[in-house]
Amino acid sequence: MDCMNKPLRPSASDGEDYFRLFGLPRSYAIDRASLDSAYEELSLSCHPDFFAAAPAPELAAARAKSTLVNEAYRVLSSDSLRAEYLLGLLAAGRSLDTRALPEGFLMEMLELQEELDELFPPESPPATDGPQAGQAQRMRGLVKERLESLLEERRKLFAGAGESPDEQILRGLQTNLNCEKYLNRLLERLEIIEQ
Amino acid sequence: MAYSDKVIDHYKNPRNAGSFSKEEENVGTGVVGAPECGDVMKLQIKVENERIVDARFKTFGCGSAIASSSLATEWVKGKTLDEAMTIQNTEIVKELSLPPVKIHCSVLAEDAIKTAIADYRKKQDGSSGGE
Amino acid sequence: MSELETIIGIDLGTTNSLAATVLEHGPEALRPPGAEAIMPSVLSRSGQGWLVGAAAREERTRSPETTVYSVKRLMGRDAEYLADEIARLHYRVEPAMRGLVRVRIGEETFTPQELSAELLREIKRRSEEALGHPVAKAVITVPAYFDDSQRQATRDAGRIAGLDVVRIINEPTAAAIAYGLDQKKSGLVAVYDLGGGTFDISLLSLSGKVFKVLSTHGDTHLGGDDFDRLLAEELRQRVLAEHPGAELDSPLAAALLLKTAELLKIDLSRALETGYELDLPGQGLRASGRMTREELNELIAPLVERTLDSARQALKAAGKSAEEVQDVVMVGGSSRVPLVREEVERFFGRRPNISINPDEVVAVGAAIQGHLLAGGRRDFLLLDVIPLSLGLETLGGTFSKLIMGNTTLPAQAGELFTTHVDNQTGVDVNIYQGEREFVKDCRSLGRFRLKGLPPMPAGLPRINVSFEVDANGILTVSAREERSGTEASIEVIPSHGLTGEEIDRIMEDSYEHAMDDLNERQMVEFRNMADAVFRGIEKAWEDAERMLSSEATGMIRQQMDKVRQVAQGSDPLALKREMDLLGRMTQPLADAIISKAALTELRKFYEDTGSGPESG
Repeated sequence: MDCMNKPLRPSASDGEDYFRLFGLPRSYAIDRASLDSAYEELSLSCHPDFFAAAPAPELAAARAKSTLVNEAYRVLSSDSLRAEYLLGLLAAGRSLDTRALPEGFLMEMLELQEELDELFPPESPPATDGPQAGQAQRMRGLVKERLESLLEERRKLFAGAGESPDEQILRGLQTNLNCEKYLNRLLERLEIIEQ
Repeated sequence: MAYSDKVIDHYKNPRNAGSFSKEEENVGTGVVGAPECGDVMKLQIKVENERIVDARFKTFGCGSAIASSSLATEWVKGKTLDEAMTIQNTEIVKELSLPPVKIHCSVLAEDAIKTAIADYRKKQDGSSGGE
Repeated sequence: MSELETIIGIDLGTTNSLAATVLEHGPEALRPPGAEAIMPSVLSRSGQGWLVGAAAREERTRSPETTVYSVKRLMGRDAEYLADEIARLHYRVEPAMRGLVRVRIGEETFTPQELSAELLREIKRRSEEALGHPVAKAVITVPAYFDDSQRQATRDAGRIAGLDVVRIINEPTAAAIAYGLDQKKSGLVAVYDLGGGTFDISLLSLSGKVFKVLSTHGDTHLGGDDFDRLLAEELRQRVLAEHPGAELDSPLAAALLLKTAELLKIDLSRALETGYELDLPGQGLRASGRMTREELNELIAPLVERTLDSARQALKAAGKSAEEVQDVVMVGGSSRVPLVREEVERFFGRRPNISINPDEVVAVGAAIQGHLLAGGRRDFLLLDVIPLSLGLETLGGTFSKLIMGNTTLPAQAGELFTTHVDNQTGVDVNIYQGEREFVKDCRSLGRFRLKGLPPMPAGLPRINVSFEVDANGILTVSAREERSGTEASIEVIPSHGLTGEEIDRIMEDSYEHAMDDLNERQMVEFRNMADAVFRGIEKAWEDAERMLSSEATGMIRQQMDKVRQVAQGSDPLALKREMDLLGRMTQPLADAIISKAALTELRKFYEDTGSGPESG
């Protein structure tokens, strides 16, 4: 049933992946300038606006290609989405434990959420000043620090992953990505509180 | 998508929200999470003579996750541990008419029940309380 | 290269509208001979027809109940949403079917789409007059923050007006195209667009060739009109304080207050202090006073602050800070208000760019995009975004997003669906647009129903539903059940706006009316022309009596009476025939002796009606 939850993305055709589409090496570290200029070039060649007067099949093909290019750019230009996408490529069909988390991590997240509940009961006004605002700011600082170190760890894991990484590295990466989602969720809540 | 009044009710007035002390001898605690969206769910059961006499939950997540866990606490109450182990996420999906995007919320609730029962059994079998 | 089809750009504004096109030497606003490029977006019912533009604007204080303005604010919105708006308008707006409203004028009612279509029809006519050839296609601009039903309503209006709307583009984006191409800019640009009724802020990254919209935010019910209203309310209070018995709530008094407020606002954009005078003829009341810019600023400051909130949201969505913005472009008539400029400068920490004509830049940008779509150029590209997230209703009325706001177009997203009941053969899905957590706070776009699924146990079918938004921002939904390979048929039932049939009916009606309207307009034109010709003849009458036989002058007099008589009727062709005859009779006179004035008038008539006396 889990497969039902995966959003469908326009997929690159056989042997083609988002990195190759932009002529970039398949790696987590990315050269933004190259990515941006490749994106522009591709868009200028296939955007449907240039085919507005073309026959229907040509227009449809341009639309499909342009949609793919936009999605590929969206994924590659985001650190999280690029990591997730690359992990899928590296796993090459091997199944990963999509729930993997470090020992005690969930409990820690639950406790942080509960702490927020106590500090800022639902329906309470936004914390823009006072001691509570300080608390929220402190927690946000903590979460941001955690996210930073996650990103650092991820860079190292990908750097040492090579073409065909072992199970342990894959698991490490999956765990890393999972942790980020929980932390982002906390961050979102803190931002709402602070507004 | 049509939702029964019951579903909306579960979502707006969740049953059994809250916590037991997880140190208590006859309490089992399950904490699970959904990495798809970062939802965290805690479900606790209070057991007497192999039968669940009470349940509590706390869910940090979307409405579907809240409704799923609220429903799960209602369903486990009065059931024996073995009976509760048979609750399937598909039943929750059906009861709540969960859309596909939210099926993972029901999986979360099923996992929470199983984890709570396992936690309780571990406490009973083993050395002492704790996780 | 073959002749390109003309695709004009139209800025269909809340208070003013205009069209532009790309000519050989570059883009240009279209000015019909002897007229302004800008046309007030005002309509006034006159008999079976409409007065449109400047003439209609004059009717606002004469006949407020039959004069319609700010139609744009009504587009694609229902009566409940518009309650506050409707209460403030001087004409009547009533709730109608499927989330529509209708404007009531006497016994008749009109949808906002039909009224907008009248404005577009006039814009089309003026453009054709300026270009000298027919126009069939247009790019129309809308506020970036218009949702799908507001965009659809705009498209429908175009269709009713007989225009093929090849693209709807966002106003700030159009402005950025015009500005960016003109100034050859690159970098991060913010376009701050405060019009009569709407506010938009867009952030774009400009490279040499690609204009990529990063984010957009705004308020479709915030504009210069709101400044006017606050000022009018202030005036009302002042007059009441001075003349407690004054009746200021009638449509006429309200329209007068509003007009005075508008003028006051414009004056205070130039002067620090100014006086005002209010005449209420019916009540024999004359009020006057002075107002300072400071006082105006105090009134409108909260509204200006709201625009800055939007700017903050747009920056956040783009992941940028105000300091990173390299250029701030001010667009829209209301960006002339000094407080607006000051606050925008303070917010971004740099002087906003006001070098471009804020009134014309949007239409010019739309025209450039139209030129590109016609195949006229390949050297730039606009990458636009979907302004608001698209998604589905899920449990308990929550909104589940499928395509996020600010996603670059074209875009696609898919979702796998299944059934909840054994042997279920159909699934209903409600589509919404918005950013809020609950669908009740979002806009319903419609409902689709997957039908004809083969009976299977619950949970077994894998229904792949795909949402596609093309470069035009139009959503299409398709579905396929993967196990059986059945293509599920999808019915999209719009929950707002006009159905295809309704549009067809309006178009048929308007075709019939178009004939009436055309006749009426021609009658008006020919009558005016006849008056001018008569004036010319009278001026030269002394010469005529001296030069022509009494028989000839008698015939001219007779023919003039005939023209007067036919001018009372409603047949423009008959009037033209008699005019032509009069022309032939006065031709020798005109050629030989009639004063220059008469000659000019006569010549003008023949040129305007496109036929000389010989051919009649």
